[in-house]
Amino acid sequence: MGKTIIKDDRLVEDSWLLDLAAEGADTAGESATKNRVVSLEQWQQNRERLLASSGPRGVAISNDDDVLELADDVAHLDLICVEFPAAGDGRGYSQAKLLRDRLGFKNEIRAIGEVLTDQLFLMRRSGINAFDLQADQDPEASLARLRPFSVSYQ
Amino acid sequence: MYQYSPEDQCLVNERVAQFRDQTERFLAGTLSEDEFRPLRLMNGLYIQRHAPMLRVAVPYGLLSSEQMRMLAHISRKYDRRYGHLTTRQNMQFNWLALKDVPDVLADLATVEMHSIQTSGNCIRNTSSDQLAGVAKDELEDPRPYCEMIRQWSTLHPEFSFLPRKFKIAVSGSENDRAATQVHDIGIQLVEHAETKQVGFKILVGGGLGRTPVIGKVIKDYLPKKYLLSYLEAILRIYNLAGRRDNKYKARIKILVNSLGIEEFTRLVEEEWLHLREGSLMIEDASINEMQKYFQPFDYAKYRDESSASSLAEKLEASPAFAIWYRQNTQEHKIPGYRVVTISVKAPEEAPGDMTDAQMDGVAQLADDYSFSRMRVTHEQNLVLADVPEHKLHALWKGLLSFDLATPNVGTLTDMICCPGLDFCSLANASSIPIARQINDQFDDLDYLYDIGEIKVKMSGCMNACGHHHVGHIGILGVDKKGEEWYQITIGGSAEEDAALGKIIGPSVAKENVAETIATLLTTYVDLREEQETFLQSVRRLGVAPFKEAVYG
Repeated sequence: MGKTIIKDDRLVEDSWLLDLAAEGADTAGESATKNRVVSLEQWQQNRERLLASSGPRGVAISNDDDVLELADDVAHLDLICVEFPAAGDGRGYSQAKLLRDRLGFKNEIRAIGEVLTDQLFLMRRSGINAFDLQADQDPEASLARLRPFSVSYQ
Repeated sequence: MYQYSPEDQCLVNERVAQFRDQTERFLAGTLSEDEFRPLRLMNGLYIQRHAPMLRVAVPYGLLSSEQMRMLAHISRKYDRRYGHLTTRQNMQFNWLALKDVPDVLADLATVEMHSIQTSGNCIRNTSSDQLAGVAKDELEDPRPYCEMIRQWSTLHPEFSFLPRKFKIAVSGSENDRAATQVHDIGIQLVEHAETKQVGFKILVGGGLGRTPVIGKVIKDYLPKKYLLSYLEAILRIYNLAGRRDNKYKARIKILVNSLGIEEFTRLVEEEWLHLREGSLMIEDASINEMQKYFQPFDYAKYRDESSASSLAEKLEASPAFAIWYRQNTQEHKIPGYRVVTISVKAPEEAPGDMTDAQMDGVAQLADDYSFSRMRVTHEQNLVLADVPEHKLHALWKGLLSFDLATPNVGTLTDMICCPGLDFCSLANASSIPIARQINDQFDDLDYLYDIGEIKVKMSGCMNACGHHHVGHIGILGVDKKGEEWYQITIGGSAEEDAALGKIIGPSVAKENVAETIATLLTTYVDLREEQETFLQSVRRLGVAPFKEAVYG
């Protein structure tokens, strides 16, 4: 049983495996049934091979990464994970916004890291549509607080 | 003034509900202290020395009498019957109970008020010129643009977790009463040299705090329609590139200084290219719509044939009224009207503190004599901006009855003063007792009038909430081995001639602050040339003669 995430306003079972360890690390077992997410560095180093492989492709960016480096890649990606190393670190909001508005990325953008119930509405409005909640957060309660506002200025 | 649309009201109501939910979860223990902290901060709620402190937003300082009555009500019902005016033109309450805060916010929402983004690492209340709309030297009323910025920045999803707090000020006049040069972004309305079209000059990277910096020009002239897209570009670059490893190096001024203004400008301009023609474009029609909320009052209504003569008679008859008139009122762009500054600096009170009775009193006086509107100034006073001349005497009598007619506006005792050690958990030293010491030492108004215009600004720690760097005389409280000491600077200014004050020498002991100021003033009186203000003398003479006088 995989873990539950919020995606497109629903609780779903995660079908991805976050594999940010160095290339070749042992991820036996699960990796056979899950789609793998690699770091931006791994993606850039192994781009040709990963593009040649079949199946969904996911990249996780750290908040120091320049998302515009993915300009030529977004058409080939199914998932981009945006990392929030701390809830107060707001770079991920701008990264998500740039992925949507500047690069036109249409597939899943997922928040990972310190992802807290009360920030989901801001993340959602920045273009993030999936949330891998911090372990101690209640998924049901979080889902219920996804849209505290029915109006917005932006 | 701006009136909420149903959508504006809905947002504020939903914010109350959201915060009620968050507070209840915190009190029930399902939301941790660490998780609750940023949430309450983003709603202006600090945990201070004694109790939570709630800062209520007063957008660009403008209040209706109805709103002022609500602030009085809140101070009565939930606090200790007073509130404190801040340098961001807001009002804060010092003695609330956390469990009451959602109810306070619900009460505020009934009069189109809130405390959204009055704290936290987000875009704070946009401040402006307290004379907006009535100043003769104004190019255009800045408030419509302040309101646009307020709306754009409210719950901005991308900019709610910036590296650090972010302050914007807008001035419509060349004479800068909004301290735009010491803001993260300073906006000045300017006329294009050739086309004569009004647009904006944009400054970036100014600020006080531990590293005071005067803002640098990033855009000489920006057409109005691009205001929000340009701000968005600056904020995005800052959000992505600003430092997050050290909160004392996280303000935009540090980023601008480390990249250099040329490189920072290049990054912003490049980002802006992608944004400028997008959805943030401001149409002329939207500007016109917003300007309708800030139209001049029907001034003809109160014009009285006998006004000039009746005012002259009253001035003649009452010297006390005449002194107040000279000191606390100023020219209005419409003949027959005056702008009145209400001094919230009575000698025996903490600067900027108002009781509930004073708040109610001012609300009534605003109803009677100034179109039911008032403004909070960044110098912690109030302004009734539109008083017919023939009503001034009655207004003065009313203010006297509430102890709000101290004729000291612009003088030494009209100080900016942070709450200091008495309330603030960040402070190193007290400020309110120093204000009292200064008031005790300088209780002779004639002496203050002889000294003339002087701006004293005092902070109880280097975070500089009291703007000490830009005081003509600045006072900074420092902690030396558990004792309170005070560092004195002179020659600072927050206006169009903005400058950072220079330290005169080693800090002085708590009991010697007023005496040191007395020495500075004596030196000034001895050395001044005719008509020269204290600031002008300091600029001409430099620090040396003042230092010599204080330290020998």
